[in-house]
Amino acid sequence: MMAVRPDVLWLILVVAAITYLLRVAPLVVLGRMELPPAVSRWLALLSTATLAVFVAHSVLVRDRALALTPQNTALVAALPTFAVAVRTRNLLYTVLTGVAVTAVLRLAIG
Amino acid sequence: MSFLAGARVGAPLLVAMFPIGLATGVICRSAGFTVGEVGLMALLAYAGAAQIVMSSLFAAGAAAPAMIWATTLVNARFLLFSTALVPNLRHLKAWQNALLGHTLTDPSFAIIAGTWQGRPANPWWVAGLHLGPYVVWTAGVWAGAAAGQLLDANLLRTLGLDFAMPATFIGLLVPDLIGPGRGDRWLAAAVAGAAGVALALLLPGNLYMIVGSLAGATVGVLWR
Repeated sequence: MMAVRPDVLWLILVVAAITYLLRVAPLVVLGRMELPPAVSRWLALLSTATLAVFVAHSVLVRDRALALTPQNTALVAALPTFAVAVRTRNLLYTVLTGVAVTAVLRLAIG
Repeated sequence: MSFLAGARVGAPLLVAMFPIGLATGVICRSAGFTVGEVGLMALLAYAGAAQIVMSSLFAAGAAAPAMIWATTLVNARFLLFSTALVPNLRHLKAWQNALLGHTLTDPSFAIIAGTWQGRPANPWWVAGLHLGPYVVWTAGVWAGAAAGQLLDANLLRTLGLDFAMPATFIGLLVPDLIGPGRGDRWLAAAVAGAAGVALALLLPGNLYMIVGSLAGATVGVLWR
């Protein structure tokens, strides 16, 4: 299964090229320029906002409906996951907590 | 010597990056990408959150432009990191920045900015900092994808690995919200989260994510 489908290869190449430009263009091109403060502020907030949408959506929405019930394991597991993230600010501990709590919840539900 | 000093500073990152790479590889594989495709993504894009976003959209049957747009938004933060490091790295030759820039990550940005405090950084030190995580991450993702072939979706669910993706986003979002200058970010995150959820119930496809995040960032900037 080392195969790479042509359409997926193109997708990866486009994403990689854009990601590379985002990383390198300011260093190589903007060496002597500065972004207006409002623009760099907007970019900083854009990554925060994007993460927030993903967090809110993956925790609160199931099948295009609000899922505010204990049966939504993502919602329940999010609470200790947030707690560990706030206390440790450590990505590894945060992910391990979320995964472990989800596994225990699945065991409990059966 | 500078290379080794940089590598030593980056060593703790390796402990975190291998297992997260493994989980990312499993997620990508279970979304329907082949092992070769997952490995190429790690090698060429080297962006875990973007890989996970792409996987969740790919598994949902999204069109290529939606995946490209989503990963661009998630990776927009690199533009800021790179811009913020201009004082540290502007003295480097263009080819040095072209090489070192590819392996810039959230933690490496934080380490460079914190260690050199606006002073010119040594390029070999940066290379030492970046090389270990790049190799270990790519190996971890590849190994996770290969192991993912042995695991079926039900086992992943039983092990709780389907929550690795939301947990990763929580782990990336929280430090953003408790760091300095957080007021605007709270507002942007709250507006984006609320708008994203509301729009997910109303709009087709992934429009909720695009409109929600643009709305959050714009409100955050205009608030000032």
